[in-house]
Amino acid sequence: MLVRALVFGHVRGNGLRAAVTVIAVALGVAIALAIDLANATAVASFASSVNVVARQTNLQVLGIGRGFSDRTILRVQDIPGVSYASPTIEDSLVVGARPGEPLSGDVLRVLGIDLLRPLPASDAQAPSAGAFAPDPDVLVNGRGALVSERVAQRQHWRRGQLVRGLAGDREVTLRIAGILPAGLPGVDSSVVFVDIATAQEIFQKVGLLDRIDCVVDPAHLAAVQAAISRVIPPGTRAIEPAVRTNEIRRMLQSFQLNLSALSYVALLVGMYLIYNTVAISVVQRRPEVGTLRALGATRRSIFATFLAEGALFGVAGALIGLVLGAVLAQLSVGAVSRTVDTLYVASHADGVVFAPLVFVKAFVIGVATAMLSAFIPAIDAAGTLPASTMRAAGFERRVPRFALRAFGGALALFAIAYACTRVPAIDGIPVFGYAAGLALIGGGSLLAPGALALTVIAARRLFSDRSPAGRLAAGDLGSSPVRTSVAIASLMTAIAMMVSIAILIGSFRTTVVAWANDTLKADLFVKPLGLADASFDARFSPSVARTIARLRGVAAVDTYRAIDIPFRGRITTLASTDFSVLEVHNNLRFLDVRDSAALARTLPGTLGVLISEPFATRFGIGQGDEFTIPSPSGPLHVRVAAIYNDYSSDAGIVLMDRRTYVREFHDDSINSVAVYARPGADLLALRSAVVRSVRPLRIDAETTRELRALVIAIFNRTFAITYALYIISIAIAVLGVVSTLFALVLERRREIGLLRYLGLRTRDVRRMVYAEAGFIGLLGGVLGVGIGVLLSLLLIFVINRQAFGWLIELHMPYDFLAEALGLVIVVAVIAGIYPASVAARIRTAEAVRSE
Amino acid sequence: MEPCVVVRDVRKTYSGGDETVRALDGVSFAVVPGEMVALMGPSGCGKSTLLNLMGCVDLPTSGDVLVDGRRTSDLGDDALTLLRRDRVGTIFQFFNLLPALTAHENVALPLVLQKRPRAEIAQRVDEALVSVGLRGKARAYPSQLSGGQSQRIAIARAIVHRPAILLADEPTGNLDSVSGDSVLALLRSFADAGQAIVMATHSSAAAGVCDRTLRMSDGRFVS
Repeated sequence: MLVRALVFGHVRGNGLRAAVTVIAVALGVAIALAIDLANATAVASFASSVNVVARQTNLQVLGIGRGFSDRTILRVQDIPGVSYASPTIEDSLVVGARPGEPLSGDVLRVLGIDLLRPLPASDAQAPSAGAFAPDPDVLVNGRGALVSERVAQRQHWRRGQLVRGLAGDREVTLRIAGILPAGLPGVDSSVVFVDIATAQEIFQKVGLLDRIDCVVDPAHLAAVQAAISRVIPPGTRAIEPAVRTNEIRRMLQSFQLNLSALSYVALLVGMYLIYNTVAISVVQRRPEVGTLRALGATRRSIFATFLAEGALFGVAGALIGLVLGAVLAQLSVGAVSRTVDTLYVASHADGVVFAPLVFVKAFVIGVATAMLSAFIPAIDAAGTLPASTMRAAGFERRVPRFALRAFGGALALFAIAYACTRVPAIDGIPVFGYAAGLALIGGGSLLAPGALALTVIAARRLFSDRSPAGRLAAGDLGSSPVRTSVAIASLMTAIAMMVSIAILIGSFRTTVVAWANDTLKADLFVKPLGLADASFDARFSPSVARTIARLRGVAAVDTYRAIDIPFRGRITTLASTDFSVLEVHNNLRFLDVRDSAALARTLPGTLGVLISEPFATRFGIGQGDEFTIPSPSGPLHVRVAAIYNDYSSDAGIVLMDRRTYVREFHDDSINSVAVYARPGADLLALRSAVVRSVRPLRIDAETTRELRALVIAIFNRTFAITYALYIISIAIAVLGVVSTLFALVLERRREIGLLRYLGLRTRDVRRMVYAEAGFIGLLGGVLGVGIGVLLSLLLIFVINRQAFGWLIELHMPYDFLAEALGLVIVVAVIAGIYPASVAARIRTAEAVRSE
Repeated sequence: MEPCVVVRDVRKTYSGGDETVRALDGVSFAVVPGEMVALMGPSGCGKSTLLNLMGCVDLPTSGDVLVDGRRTSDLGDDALTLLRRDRVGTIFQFFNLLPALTAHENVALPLVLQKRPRAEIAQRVDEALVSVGLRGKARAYPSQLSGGQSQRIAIARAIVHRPAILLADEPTGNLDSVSGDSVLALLRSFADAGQAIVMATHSSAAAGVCDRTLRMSDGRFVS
C-alpha cells in the first residue's frame, strides 16, 4: 500500500528519470555479467576439455614437456581400482596458415586417443561410439580424423576429404573419417580426434604420451592416486582434473580479477545515479511522507518503502541487464579468450558458457547495489516529521555544513587509501590495493561539495554583470549542493577511471615498447606459420636451427623452447635459450646485474637459472635463492643467478640454458629461432633464404620490426575491451548528468517561469541549463583528472605490481588529460540539451502562478 | 497624456480538445501614467488572462494590446520578452522570490537581465529598497523574511527597472491585513508618483485605493 502510494505513481509520473535509472542499472549489470561470463567461459572451456573422452575421468596422469613413455599405461591400468585408463596425446594442428600472416592460422586441438577401445559404460555418446560409424580401418591405418561439425563447417570439410595442416613445422595430411554432430558434450569448435598411433606419428611423439585419463574407484581415490604416483616416471604427476583446472584458474586470476574490477566500475557509477533518483523522489514526496507519518506510518515502513523503490529500479534494471549482458558476452568472450589464448593458455573457448550461477550473481549484485544506493535517501525519508510539509529544498537545507564535513571525510579517506597501499597482497590478490582505489574514489567524491561551493562563489563574481545565465546557473547549482555534488561525483568516478586506465595503458605500452626494443635484438625471428599465440605448443625439429645457422649471412642463431610446469599450485613457464648467445648479444634486461656477459659465461650447462620479474614477485624468490622444479630426470634443484625484466607473461618464467634443458627434460625440440645476421646482410633476402632452406618443413620468419609491431598489436588487442568498459561507464555518468539537470529544471520550474516573466529569453534559459551542465562537467572533469592521476599511480605502483609482478614506468600523457577535460565539458553540455529544451518550453504564466 | 497600455476589443479563446473556452470577449480599456486601476471579479472571469496579455506572456486571439505604444501581436517571442523585461513590472500573490538569492540580488534581477553596469545596478537597487523601506534587509534571504517583507521586496523588484506599467496579481492575497494595508499604501504612493498600475484583486479594500475599478464577468467588463 505504501509502495503504491509513494512509489508507483511517482515513478509513472517521472518516466524519464526512472527510465534513465533503469538503463544505468541495466548497463552496469550487463557489463559485469558479460565479463563474468567471458571469464567463466575461459576457465570452463578448459575444464570441459579435460573430460572430452570419458566424462567420468576422475584422475589424470600428466606429463610435462614432450610427454612421457607410453609404457606407463601398462603399469597404470594394472593398478587395482583403476577401471579405465585412456592414453592421450593432446597437441595443436594449424590449418589455413598463410606465410607472412601471423594471425591467419586456425588452431585445432588434436586429441589422439585409442578410438577402437570401448569407453566406460555410461559414456555411450563419446566420439568413438558407433553412431557415426566411421570406417575403423581409415581411423587406425588411414590417418582418419573425426572433426566436430563446427570445424567441418568453418573449414568446408566433407567426409572422406583429405585435409592438410601443420604439426609444428611439418605438413601433415589427415582424412576426414567422420563429422561429430554439434552438442556432443566436450566437443568444442576446435577439436579433432585421431587415433593415438596417428597422433604419435604426426606430432613425432612415437612411444610418448601427454596424459592418461583414468576412471578410478571414487571410494579409494587417494589410495589409487598414491599407487599410480609410485609407478609413473619422474616429472609426471597423477592429479584430479579439478587440480589442473584450479591451477589454470589461479594463473588467470589476476587478469580476470582486474577485468572484473573494471567491469564493476559501471555499476559504481550507476550507484550515484540511483542515489540521486531516490534522493530526488524523497525530496519531492516529503509532504506525502509527512502526511503518512501523521496517519501512523512508522519510520521503518517509510524506510522500507524507499528501499523498495531502489529495489524496484534494481530488479527492472538487472532483468534487462541480464538479457543485454548475455548478448554482450558473445562479443566479450571472443576478446577475453583471445587474450587468454595469447598470453596464458590455449582455452579453446567455444561460445559462451551460460553458467546459471553467474546470472544469479549478476542479478543479486544489481539489486543489492540499487538498494545500497537507496539506503541514505531512505534513512532521510524515514526521519521526516509527521505532517511535515517541507518543500523540495528541505533535504538540501538540512546540510549547511555539508561541504566542510565532506572535505573532512575526503581527507580521512585519502589517509585510508594511503595506508592501504602499504599493505601487501593476499595470496597474490591486491585486496588492499582495490580498497585503496575505492577509498580514493570515495575521497574524490567527497571533494565535490567543496569544489562546487568554491565554483559557485567564483562564478557569481565572474558573471555578476556579464552573463545573467551564468550567474543564475551558479545560483541554481549552489542551492542544490547534495544532488549536484552527487552528479559531479558520478562523472568524476567515470572520468577518473578513464584517465587512470589511459595512463596505465599508455605507460604500459611505452614500457613494453622500450622493453621490446631492448630485448628483441635478433634480426629475424623464425616461428610457426600462421601463429602469433604463444600458448599453442607448436614445435620445430632441432634441424631447423642447424640448417639456418649454416646459411651465409647468418652470424648466430638462438633457439627458444618453453613448456608449462606446475609450481607451488600454479602453472608457470620453464623456458630455455642458448646462454652463450646471451653472452654476446645481451638480449635480456637484468635487474641488479652490472656485467651480463660475465654472468652469461658462468651459466651454460649448469643449474643456474634466470627468473623473470613477475616470477620473482609472485613466488617471493630472489637472486641467489634455490628452488625445485619437476623434470623427467627427477626434481631439479635450481639456483637463481639473476632476475630479468619481462612483460610477456605474468605467470612468470624460469629461464635455463638450452643444454641443461635438453639434458634434463629429454626434449630437443624448439618453439622459435632468433637469427642474428652478419653486418650488411640483406634481411629480406635472408628471410627468403631461411624459409627456403628448411623445406619441405614449413616455417615463417619475421623481421624485428614486424615482431615489434606484432607485440604492440597483441598489446592493443589485450586492452581493447578495457576501452569499451570505460566508455560505457562514461555513458552512465552522462545519463546521471541528464537526470540531475532534468530534476533541477523540474524543481525550478516556477523560478524559470519567473525569470522568463522578468525578461529572460528562451535562449538564455537554454544557456542557463548549458552553463549548469558545463559547471558539472568542469568540476567532474577537474576532479576526475586529479583522482584519475592518483588512481593511475595506485594501479601502476601497487595493484599491477602486486597482481602481475611487473614494474611499469610512469608516463604522463598531458595532452590526453587536457583533451579528456575538454571532452567531458563538451559531453556534459550535450547532456544538457534535452533538459534545456524542457526548460525553454516552460510556460511562463502557468509556472509562476502555481504554488 | 499618452496611455502606457491600450487594450482594444480583445478576445482570447483557449482550445482544449473538442472544447473551446472564451476567456476574454471583446475587452477594451487604457491606462495612463499615474493611474491605478483595479480589476475585480470572480475566479475564472478573465482577470489573469488580461494581466497575461498586458504582461506580454500571451497574445490575444483577436484585437490589440499595446504596451508602451507597441502592438504585442506584431512581436516574436524574443521581442516580447525584451518588451516585458524593459517595460513591464509584475507583482505576484506568492511573491516568487528566488530562494537562492538575497533580497538585494532578487531586486537586482531585472537589471542584471538588462546587463546594466554593476555600479548602476547597486545604486538603483539601493533606491528601490529604500523606497519599500527594506534597505536593512538587503542581505537577507527570502526564507528570513516575513510575508509582508517578501512582498515589499517583490515590489522593489517590479519597479527597479522603471517599467511603463506595473501589474499586480492579488498582491495582498497572501498577506495579513496589516501587511496588506502597508503594501497597498506603498503601491498608491508609486501611482501618485506617476507609475501606471493595474491590479487584479478580490479585495474591496484593495480596490478602494485605486483610481477606478473595472468589474469583470465571463470575459467582459460589467458596469
